[in-house]
Amino acid sequence: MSDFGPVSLSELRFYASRAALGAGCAQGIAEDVATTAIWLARKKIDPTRALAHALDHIVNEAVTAALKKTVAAGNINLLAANGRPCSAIYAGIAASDQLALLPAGAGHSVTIADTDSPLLAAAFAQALNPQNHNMLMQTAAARVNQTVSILTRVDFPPGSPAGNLILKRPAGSEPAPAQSIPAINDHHNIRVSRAGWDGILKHFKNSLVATTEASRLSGAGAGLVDTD
Amino acid sequence: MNAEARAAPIAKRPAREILSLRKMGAAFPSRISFMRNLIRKIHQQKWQLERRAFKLDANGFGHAIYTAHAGARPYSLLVFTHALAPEKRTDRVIAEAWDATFNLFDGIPTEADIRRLSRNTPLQEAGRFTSKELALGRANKSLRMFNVILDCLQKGQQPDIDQVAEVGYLMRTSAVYGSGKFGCADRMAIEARPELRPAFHMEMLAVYLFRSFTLDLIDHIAKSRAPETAAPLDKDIKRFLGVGNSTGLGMAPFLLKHSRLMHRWVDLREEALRRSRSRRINAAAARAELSPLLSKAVTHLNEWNVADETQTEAILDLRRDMQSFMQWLAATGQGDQGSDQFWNDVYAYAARHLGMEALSFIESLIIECNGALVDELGDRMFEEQGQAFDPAMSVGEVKRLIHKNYDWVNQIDFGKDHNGAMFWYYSEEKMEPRLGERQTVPGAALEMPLAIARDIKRLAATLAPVDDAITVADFLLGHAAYRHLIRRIQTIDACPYGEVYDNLISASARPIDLLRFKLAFFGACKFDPKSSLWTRINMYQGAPLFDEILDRDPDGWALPVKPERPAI
Repeated sequence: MSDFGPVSLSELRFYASRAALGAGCAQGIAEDVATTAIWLARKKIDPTRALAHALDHIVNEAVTAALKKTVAAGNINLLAANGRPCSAIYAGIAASDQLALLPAGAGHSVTIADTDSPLLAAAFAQALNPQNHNMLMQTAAARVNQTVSILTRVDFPPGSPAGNLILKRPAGSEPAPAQSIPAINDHHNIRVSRAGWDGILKHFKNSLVATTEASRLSGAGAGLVDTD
Repeated sequence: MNAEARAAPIAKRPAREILSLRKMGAAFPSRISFMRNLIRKIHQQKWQLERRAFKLDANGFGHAIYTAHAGARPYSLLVFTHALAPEKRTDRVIAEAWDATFNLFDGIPTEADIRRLSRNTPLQEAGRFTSKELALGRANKSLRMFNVILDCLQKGQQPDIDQVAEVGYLMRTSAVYGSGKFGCADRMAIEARPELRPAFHMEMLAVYLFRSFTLDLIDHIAKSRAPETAAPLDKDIKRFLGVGNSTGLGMAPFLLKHSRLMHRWVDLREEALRRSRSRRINAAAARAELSPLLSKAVTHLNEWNVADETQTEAILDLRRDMQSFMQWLAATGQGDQGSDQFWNDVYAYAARHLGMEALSFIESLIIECNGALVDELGDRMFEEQGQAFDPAMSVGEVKRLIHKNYDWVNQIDFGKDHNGAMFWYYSEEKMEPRLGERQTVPGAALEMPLAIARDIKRLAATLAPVDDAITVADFLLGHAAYRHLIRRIQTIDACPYGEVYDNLISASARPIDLLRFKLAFFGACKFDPKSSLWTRINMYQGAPLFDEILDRDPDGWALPVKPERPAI
């Protein structure tokens, strides 16, 4: 598989967030896409193919961003508000938010029913987790009670099978110090798949406004030639 | 802080008072601005600066390497120079060719690095870079300045200093990219290094080294073309030449995106002013400190001349205000007048009696006179990225924060076309940031999120009927469009200096105010607006030269003034 790069984390942040905007995501969602892309890249996981795939699903309306919530016995369930699967991006972000509402130490869970990529949703939930809990996840792939932080390249195929995702904070756990979720790639540089990068760029381009002669001449205030 | 300052604390000013567009657009550099802090650091830490390579032909085309040894760690500016056709000469982002292109390299480049960069650096945005490159930039000659000076030097003469002062630099940069752009090293690669940790110090180092290159370049071309007659440029004139820069809309989104960092900068500057105003000092002692600076300040302002009518009016007002200020100063402090916190008296006078430009200018003068109290703040101008987010916060609390920190948005009637007339966007053409009229320019659906006031108003209206007890997490399940705003509201409550308290999409908003604000933190001077959307500036004008920086007063270059005419 051909690759591209090295890509800086800053580039990844910029292109991932703008790609999300290009796919029609709200600004705040785009910011969280960027944060999650960086979180994965710092673990040397190429996030581009999975994100591009998830953005494709949003654009193609193969998934829904409309979620509803139910609570049973202290456990939170996030469900699609219509018949389509939940977008891993929106559901993962919502799951991260909802996890913050769970009482510490009670062992309650947040379940996302039927998302297009449970692993990607788990990555979002962990990356955005404001209290930095080391969460446990369970997916249809039978990775029972693994911590999300041990996601590896092997665990993170771009088109991972759709299904449910259960996230919980371990009973009695306190927020983990930041360093307990190791950042492997602290310095820079991740090579990404060419297909993944192209997939991000495809959506990125849709975040830009087409140029016109009028905007070219006046949109930036300056003229086109400066000979002084 | 000394005991005297602790004895009479004075509060920092409220964010809304100092972060309106009008006030931001009157900003001046201070001694804790980035360039000033960097020059002080180079001097105090005795960095060794060297020109390692200068392989240019008689026309000045080739490459050069300038290295700054910050202790054991070297940083090298690698410059490539090129012939540039007149029709390709533009300061815009959309340019595709330049007189000079450069990188700040992390270490000392090998021959293989030089070959690799010689293929990529001239391409700028179209090139690819690695984590060894910290910055990427480009510059064009000021043709009128370069040719005039070159012509004189070839004849063995020095240029007319008044003509030099009209421009004040040989070349001007039109972009200096850092922080991971185009594959360059991420900010995190250097943020643990004390020498470059404060914001934009890496970029400022690149520009300082580039200034040295421009000065060597003109001597080299003159000597190459007229070996028998050429004279080197007079050292006082060299010192008076900085590096120009053209800055456009790209800087504005940066401020809005980096709220915590902006808060940090403003908070530290406010702290510098607060410490200075709190210092116990009587009028006579303060006047003794201020007097030498004041005469220089007046000359500096008299030499600040621009074509822009709005800025010219502001400069004329400023000059008049400074005359009033000096009259007040001469009359105050005689006999028993004045308190024992005379810097505070100065500030109070300026705030009460003078215009916005004069107030800002005098703030910088006050800070300038209190180096011992404030200089350490310049090394703290950095902050982690990101914004706070608490999904467990109640909607009631969000409403309270809006009321507390954003009541000003209620004064703006977005029902009037004027108040929402503009939108900010990235053009598909090299991602150039642009500002367009909503009614005439297509693409408003892709608006950048800079319409903070309008959007906060919309959020407040949406929240009004929502039960206060509902959490942000639950509210956002059905309102993802407000996610970034709630994050901003939560962030700004902790970082009030991180907001622009104004309407950025008004037809009357002047983006240039944001640019000047940021450029003043850089340490730029001689703001030279070319429209309400972009400006030229001068960087390092008056700063010690490459070969004298360890020997000259690192703070003696504030408020640069043109040198006396050299003997011809």
